[in-house]
Parts: sequence; C-alpha cells; structure tokens
Amino acid sequence: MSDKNCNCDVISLGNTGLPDCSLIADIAAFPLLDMAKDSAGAVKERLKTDLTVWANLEPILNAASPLDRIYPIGKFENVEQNREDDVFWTANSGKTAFVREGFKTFQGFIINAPRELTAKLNANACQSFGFHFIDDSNQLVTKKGSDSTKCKPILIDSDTFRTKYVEATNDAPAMLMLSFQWKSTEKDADVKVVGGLDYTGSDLYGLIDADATYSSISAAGFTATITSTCYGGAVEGLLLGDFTLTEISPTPGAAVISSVIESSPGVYDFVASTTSADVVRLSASKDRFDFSEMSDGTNDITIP
Amino acid sequence: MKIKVISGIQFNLDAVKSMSLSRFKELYKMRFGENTESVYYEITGKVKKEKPKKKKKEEAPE
Repeated sequence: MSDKNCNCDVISLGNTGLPDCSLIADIAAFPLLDMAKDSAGAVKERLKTDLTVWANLEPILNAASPLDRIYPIGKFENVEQNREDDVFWTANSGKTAFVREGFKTFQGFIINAPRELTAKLNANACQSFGFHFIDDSNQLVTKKGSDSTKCKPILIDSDTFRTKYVEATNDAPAMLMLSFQWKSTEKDADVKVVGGLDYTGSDLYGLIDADATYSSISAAGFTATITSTCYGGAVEGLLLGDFTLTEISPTPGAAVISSVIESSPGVYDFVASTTSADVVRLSASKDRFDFSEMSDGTNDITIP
Repeated sequence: MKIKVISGIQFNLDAVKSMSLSRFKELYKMRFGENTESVYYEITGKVKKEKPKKKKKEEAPE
C-alpha cells in the first residue's frame, strides 16, 4: 500500500479530531479471497451485509459463477503484515525527500493444511484478486466501497502471491505458508473494519471440486462414482434432488431419473429413462461442492 | 420433486407413477424379486385390480 497523495484542494492542514470509539482491526485470521471483477466484468463491490450476515454469505460461498464466489482459505496463524522501509532520496547536502512508501507484505501459516491446497492456491497467481479478512476479534476487515453500505476486496499484487508447503519437523506440524504484497495502490486509510458478524470464521468453508466416472451403462441406467478430484475422497450423501440428467443428443432436453441409491460411499446407481444411442449429461448441485467438472461436456454418457 | 425411499432407493414419485407396472418390473425385478409388484403399488399408491374369480359351474341337478 502506498500513500504519497497530498491534498492540494485546501490551503490548511486537515483536521485531526478522533471519534470517541472506532473499530480497530485485530490480527488477520480468516482470509476471504475475492476476484477483483464480477461475472459482468464490473469492479467487484459487495454490500457489507453480504459479508456480515451468514444467510447472505453462504449463497456467495456456493455461487454458481466462480467470479462471484468468495473463497475462504482457512485459519491463519503467525500472521505478519509488515511494511518495508519508505524510500527516501538523499541529496548531496544530506537533505532527504520522500519518494514512496515501502510495500506492505502479508505472511501467514495454515496448520496441517493438505499439500494439494498449495497447488490450488498457486494456480490463482495469474488472476486479479484481493482479500477481505475476518480478524481475531471476529470483525470483517475490508476496503471501503462507493458508499457506506458497500465494500471491495483489498487488492494484492498477484505477481507476489505464493504458497509453500512446509514439511513437519520434530517440533512443528506441517504447514502451508502464504505470502504476498498488497497492491501499491491500496491505501491503509481505505481499509474499513465492520463489526456485528452473526457467524465466526470457523463457519466458513471453500468448495471441493468433484467429478464422476461412469460404469454399468445401459438403457435402464448407469452407475456414477463421484469423488473429489483434488483429494480423492468419495462424495457421499447426495440425494435424488441434488442431481439433474439432461439429454444432449439426439433430442436435447431434460431426462428423467426414476431412482437413485448410494450403493457404497460415493457410488450412485441410477435408473433413468433413456434409449440406445442417447447421449446424456449428469450434473449435481450441493453446498460445499463444485460439480462443474462433472457437467463440463468432457464426461457425457453414451447409452450403448 | 417428490421422493419416496424404499430399501434405501430414492424414487422419483412422479416418474414411477407415470410408469407402467411392466416397465417397472423390467427395471427393478433384479433388485426386488418377487416383491417388485408390491413395491410398485406402494410407491404409486395405485390399487391392484384383482381379477374376478370365475364362478364354479353349478353342478347339474340329478
């Protein structure tokens, strides 16, 4: 964050009164990753109540569009946000002049995070995004928006975004280290603290990618084995109402699932009305999971 | 979607109701065996039509 601006609109100094009480940010604990722009291509701006009220936030955690979604990462420990020394130019006379603020950096650790998360986070490094935070006092730390009811993610310099897996030692658990620099255009004065959250950081969750493989395919139905693509575990507990079957060809439209049973963890036996040579696509929707790989068109079912 | 669960299978009620008994038997005979027909009637709520018993021929008078 840099703050070299001088207010040339007034000829006096700015007033320095302080309110009797103001919210002060505590240590950043739960980062919420948020894209810089929304699915319509506009600069991302959210209602503060979308981030302070769980009933509003949970649909955003599960938003269908990845650009509109918020991505919690987990509980961070040993968080340090340091600002490097400001840069001054020194004249031959010894006088110095302010050039720019030092960059502000973030570093923190997630204890016992799976190593797969390292690759997932590093894949974000080419995106334009920022963070909101839930701090250790359960306050939302965010950036001010276009009016007092709105907020924006505090943007980071994605060139500096990096996660590393830190192996366990005899006296420390395995950890994931995240570090980055805040974007130089972000100002400390624009960071806002919002209280009154009706949830805690522990309630937050990110989505798990899931995909299916198919077997026992016939005109009477098929078996779908649904697993987490990143972590490999079975996706259990899906219900008939979570699934949708669509005929892709020859007659595009909805297909009817007559029944489903989870015959073993993550293995779902479907009975559906299809005919030979139909191509159908199974999709699913459930909080905490992202099934987009299942229905991205690369994994359609051809009825023999 | 209305769902009915029998033996762990989640049935789409509307789909089964629009299905004939013979089609249901094709799809579920392997799973339910001899009980397939009664499962069908339990899901659909339809009442099995009993075939009228043929009356015994009256014995000819001596």
